[in-house]
Amino acid sequence: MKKLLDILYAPLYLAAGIVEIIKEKDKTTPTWLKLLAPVLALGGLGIFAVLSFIQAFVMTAWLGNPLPVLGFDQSPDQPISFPHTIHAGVGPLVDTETGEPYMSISGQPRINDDGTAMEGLGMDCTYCHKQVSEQAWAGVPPVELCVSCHRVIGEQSNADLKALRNYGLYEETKSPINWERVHRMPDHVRFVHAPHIWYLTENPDAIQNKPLGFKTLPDGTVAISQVCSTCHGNVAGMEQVWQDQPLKMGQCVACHRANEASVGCETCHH
Amino acid sequence: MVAEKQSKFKWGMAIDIDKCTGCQACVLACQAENNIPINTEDNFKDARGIEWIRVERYWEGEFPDVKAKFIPILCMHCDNAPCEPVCPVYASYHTVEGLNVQVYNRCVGTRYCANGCPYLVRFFNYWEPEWPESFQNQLNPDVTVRSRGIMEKCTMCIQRIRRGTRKAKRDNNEVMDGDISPACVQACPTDAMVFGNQKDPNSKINKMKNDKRSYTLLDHLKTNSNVWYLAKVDEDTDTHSKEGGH
Repeated sequence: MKKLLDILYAPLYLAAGIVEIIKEKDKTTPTWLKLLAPVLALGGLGIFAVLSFIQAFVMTAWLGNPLPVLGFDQSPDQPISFPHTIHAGVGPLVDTETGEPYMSISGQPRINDDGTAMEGLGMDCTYCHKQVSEQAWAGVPPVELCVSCHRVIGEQSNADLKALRNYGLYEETKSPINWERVHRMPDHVRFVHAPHIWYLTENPDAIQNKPLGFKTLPDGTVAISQVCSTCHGNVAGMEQVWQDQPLKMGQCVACHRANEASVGCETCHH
Repeated sequence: MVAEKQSKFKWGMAIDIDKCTGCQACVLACQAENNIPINTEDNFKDARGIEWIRVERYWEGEFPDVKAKFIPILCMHCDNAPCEPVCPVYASYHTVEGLNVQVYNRCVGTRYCANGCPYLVRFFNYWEPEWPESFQNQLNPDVTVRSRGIMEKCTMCIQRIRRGTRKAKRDNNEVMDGDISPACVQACPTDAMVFGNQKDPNSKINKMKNDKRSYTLLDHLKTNSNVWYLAKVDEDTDTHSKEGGH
């Protein structure tokens, strides 16, 4: 930290040194050096100001949406490594870009015993995130919903499933799962899921980052699970969910403008 | 400047002073709905209590011939609001639906708006708001908790307005008169307060604001307030009570 400050203050030190020279050897100093001193000092201050401004700008931008360095990977570890790939993925679980099978959090490739890629279950997003079309929050399902299937489904030896059964099945260890939140709006933003779902299901043209196997229903609308990727990216391809889109105000306003939605401040800030 | 879109709505409120009993239910409802910090006696002594709506009490006459009059005072959502032009960061903002709202994330806390407001309905957060542990889960999730250094004021419960319009749009309905009501209006036991859309010719508020008893507070300042008061009917002083009022 001190070194960093030293570097930043370097122009000031330089200017101070020149002033010292001028004071000590006033009679012998040539005129051009006397003139140069204030120019250097002012120039140094100017550069210092500009650099501080850029630094402040970069720091605030980074704090608002940290880059994936120094542990700010926007993909926090969850108490149970729930793979969206298996549950929500459709077709063989391979990365669309590389063609490689997805790797689980524990490092196991998602392949069957015979070496072929596993098939996703293709569950609908709203099976678990039920409230998304009615409420402000998409909602995380209660652990009872998980164990309604995983009471019987899944290997007995799997550590995550063991933990899940402890959370959901046995009276002495029963408790809700303390999931780490991935998408969090600042406190001064009110985002309501429901109207966005209503609009996008009826206006499929506005959907961005369309998911794999995107299909429109005969009446021109789409299913609820087809619109999530506009803001959340391809969650079905995430072993551990990360924030795909920046979700900054600029993105919100651009989409609201494009779709002629309200752009007044009171729309989200109240 | 914000492009003035023609909106279907222009919200307003009318308060019948004759019906108001001064029960303070509106004050309490507002406090609960809008995450307003708990005011202590010391806050009021310092004139730093936060009440988006307050009930002012006036005594008339000498004891025992004394009469009380209560006037609930909230933000008037003036069309010509004195608080708006003074804000250096445009945090005091007029919506297309005729509401004057405070954009908390823009506010830098200059307090110019509070000094400009003749109704004294803008409040500054001098402290970080704190609630007892048991109250943490009663906060309204639809309303921002204002932090220290932010100006705040009545929003006519914009979260309820947005919820109501959203629901109507979803069901392909028009917003009917009485569908949307702010917390104070909902809590009023005597229905003294009425909230509605002034652009709806049949709305209750339009009838009340055109009543001959109606007046607005500090009308001479030409703030074009959107809250109307209906004067108290007093049979003793108004000999022709049918023509009485202001």
